[in-house]
Amino acid sequence: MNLTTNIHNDVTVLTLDGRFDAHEAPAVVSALNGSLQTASVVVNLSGVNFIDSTALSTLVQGMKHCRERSGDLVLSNLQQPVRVIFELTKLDRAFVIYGSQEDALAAIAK
Amino acid sequence: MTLPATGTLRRLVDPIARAWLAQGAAGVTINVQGSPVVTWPRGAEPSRPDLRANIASGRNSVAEIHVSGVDVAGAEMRLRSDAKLISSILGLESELSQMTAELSETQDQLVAVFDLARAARTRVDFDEILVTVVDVARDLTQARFAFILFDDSPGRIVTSPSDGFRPEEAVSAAFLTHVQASGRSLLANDSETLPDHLEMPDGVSSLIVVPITIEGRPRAALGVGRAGDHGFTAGSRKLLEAIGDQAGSLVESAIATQQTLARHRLQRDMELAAAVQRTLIARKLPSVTGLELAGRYRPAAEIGGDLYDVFTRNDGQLVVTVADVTGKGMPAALVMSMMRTAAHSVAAAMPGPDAALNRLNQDLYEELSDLSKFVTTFMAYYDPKERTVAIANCGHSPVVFCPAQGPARLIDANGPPIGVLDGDVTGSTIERLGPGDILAIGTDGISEAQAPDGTLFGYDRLMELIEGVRFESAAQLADAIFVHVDRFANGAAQADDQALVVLKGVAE
Repeated sequence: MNLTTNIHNDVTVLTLDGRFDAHEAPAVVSALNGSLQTASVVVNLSGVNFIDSTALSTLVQGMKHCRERSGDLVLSNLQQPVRVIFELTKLDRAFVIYGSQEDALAAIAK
Repeated sequence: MTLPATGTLRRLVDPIARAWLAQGAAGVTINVQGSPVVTWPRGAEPSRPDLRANIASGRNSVAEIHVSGVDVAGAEMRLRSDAKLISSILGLESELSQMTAELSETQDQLVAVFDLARAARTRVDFDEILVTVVDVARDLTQARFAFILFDDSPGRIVTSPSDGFRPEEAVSAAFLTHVQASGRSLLANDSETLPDHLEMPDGVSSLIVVPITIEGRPRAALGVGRAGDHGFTAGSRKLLEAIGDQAGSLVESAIATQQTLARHRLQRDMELAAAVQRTLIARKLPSVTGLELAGRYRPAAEIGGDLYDVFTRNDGQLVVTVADVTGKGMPAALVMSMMRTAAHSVAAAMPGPDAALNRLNQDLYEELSDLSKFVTTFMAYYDPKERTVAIANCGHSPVVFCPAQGPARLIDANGPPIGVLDGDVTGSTIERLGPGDILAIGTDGISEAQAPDGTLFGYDRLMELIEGVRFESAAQLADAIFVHVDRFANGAAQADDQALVVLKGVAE
């Protein structure tokens, strides 16, 4: 899975592309833990077509860390199969989810 | 050249001496340092020789041949030739003797190296192997002491005990660094031969140091030293190199054996843990009026992270819990153990499944956060008097409700899994569970079972299947689900843990 990090106005945008599973999770853990320079993160999942429970727990963990630092980790651009998983587990109630990266950045800016 | 024993000397010179006697000579003797040592005829008193010739080795005369009773003229040349011949023969005899001695010594050394290999093969203890190596190295090279230097820090040294000499104090790590850098062995019989940066240790007159290669790199050095006059030969250096090679292989196979043992130990621990889990999960299901129950559990590996638990509260209500921890294998199983205990105790105490799961979330939130795990959890309280079931579902699926008549449907989660959000996470809903009504709770190992072409079993297939077998008993239903899942997967390996509980209402 590809992983790119950019910073937009004090918000880290982490773009993931590919299958997000237990194998790929450690790379995302590093990106969200060690090298985070901002309090808030937007995780753009536009390229992710599969997500498993270990990957979900990575996002949950990231979200908790951001909230502890008075920021947040939000999600954007969920593909349909991934959205279904979030709905089934009601993780769509735990995360703030946006349709697009722009909407997410705009909302955080306010 | 060393002269052989008298008997051999007599045998070697005999043909020549007899030829002289046959020609008319009165006597022949071989003299060494002025005295006769062998005479022909045997036992004759040697008389004044008419002729004599030197038997030489190089420029040195080692013996003389004397002939008496011959006419000098003409015989002198012949005698000198004979003397030369005898010289050659004795020279060859001497070489042969030396070679035989050396061969015998080499054979001894070979046997000793084989013994070393054989003895060490039965040992896994590194230290014992290394001690054997230094002892053998010292004995075979007839050294005063032997040592092995390691490149770990602090650098270890193993030595062969030797009276009065402590190599661990004398030999510096610089010798190890040198053979590692040069990749070659070092032989020095005096301090001049040593490279500038190395110093002969105190009291040591000769040294050989060879590298020991472990897993492709020179990780250690084997050395021997002498404290007297005799230096080491090239042969000893070769021998020590061979012992060094052996030592390297022995250490490598000891490492491999240790790794195999560790793997076996781990495997055994897993098997024991699996047995514990099987015992806990496969306990007999309680019986309750108005309900048939069936439970099944299939971990993907030896042990898994799925759970089902069924027990009866003091007030007669039946509690059913089905949960799925993120991850697989040992870590998931350990978290699941923690969950089972905690879930059981909150369910015994709290009035409803929503209160129980909210309490469970409160209790476990910190730990689950620390472990970066969450647990999708379904809990239901069945009231046998009312024939209703109260359901609280924290992020769990698939949960299928199939009424006695009518289509099956999925029961959604009320809130996110346990361990995701702090605070209260769920409410509850109520369903009737009268005769013919079915409630089946599985884990996603079932709905996400994959066919060889990648299609997932999915929820629709599961609901259709349950509708199709709705008249069977709970146990038959549970079996049918697994049979169909396996048929669907068509030989593909089970990727995730699978758990299933089926509750079916029955008439009194």
